[in-house]
Amino acid sequence: MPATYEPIATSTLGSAAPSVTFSSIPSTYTDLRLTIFCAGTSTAGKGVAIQLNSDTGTNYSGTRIYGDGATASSAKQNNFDYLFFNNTSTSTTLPTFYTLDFFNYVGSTNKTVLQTGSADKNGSGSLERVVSLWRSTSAITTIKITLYTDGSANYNTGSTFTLYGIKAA
Amino acid sequence: MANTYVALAKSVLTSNQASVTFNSFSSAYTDLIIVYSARGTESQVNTDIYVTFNGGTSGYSTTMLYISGATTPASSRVSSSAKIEGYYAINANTATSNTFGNGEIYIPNYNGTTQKPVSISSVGENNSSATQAMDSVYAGLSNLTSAITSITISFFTTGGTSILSGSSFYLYGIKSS
Repeated sequence: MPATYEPIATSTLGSAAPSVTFSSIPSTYTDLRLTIFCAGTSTAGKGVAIQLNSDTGTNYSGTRIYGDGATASSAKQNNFDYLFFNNTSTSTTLPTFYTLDFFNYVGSTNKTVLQTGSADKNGSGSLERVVSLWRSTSAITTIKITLYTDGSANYNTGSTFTLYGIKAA
Repeated sequence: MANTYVALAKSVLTSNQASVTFNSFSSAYTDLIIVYSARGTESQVNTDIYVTFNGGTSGYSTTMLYISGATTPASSRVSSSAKIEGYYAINANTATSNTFGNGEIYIPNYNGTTQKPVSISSVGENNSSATQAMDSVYAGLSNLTSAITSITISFFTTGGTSILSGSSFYLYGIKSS
């Protein structure tokens, strides 16, 4: 049976940390999926910021739609120095769940990423769906995941980050 | 053999049913995914999806974001509910005939001891200006802090059945290592 959806690496935090990095990502797959199951050390966590291949330049953009249980909104950011979620706050007690799909990650075209963030908190919370673009024709070899905050916060102990590889055949 | 997207169970309906339940599935995985192609029996264009765990009828909440072709995007929330629920999730009885909607229910960390978030994406397209398409995403939460051992899926209905014959639901397990 062909291997289709394989775990490449997983990281479960034994202590609070501001970021997690997956490096030396093999080039043998077609697409990547990153899942994040996390809580924050404070409510200052507002989402996730992702940088690829240590690129800190303004080579990222995204179009997002998000809902807070009352209002549906859309926004667009161009020429940013990361791709991100910024409308799905972390909780100190309730888990927030994210998925990011990186399509054709070793291809020689710019990289499209489809993102979903789920942060219901039983009476509050939000969800967000984003399509992002990393303007680079290089294969993705490193993914740095940082908690996006508007204050002081880290990913809490027990937060889990898993990277899967998906083969087309 | 490499860990993959392992098929655990399936339910392909040969008659209309009130609900679909998966139980007695393995606890050996990290996450669960249910992929479905379905249509509701309710006499309306589209209908809502409901998900519960372990037979529980309380402790659920859902934040929703949905687009129904004739309206602007909207967001809603249901808290302290008897189920995870998503509005405008799937084609129902008065949608264009022979058209089923599709969706994915992602349940991460289903064996964990924390509350259970759920991510649902659901779409339905009818190729008709007179009927509505829908594109919806839901963030659900269950206050269950023990392992999920059964999953029940149903749709809104005012009658006895809610899911149309021919609908299919596939349960997959994913291991993180």
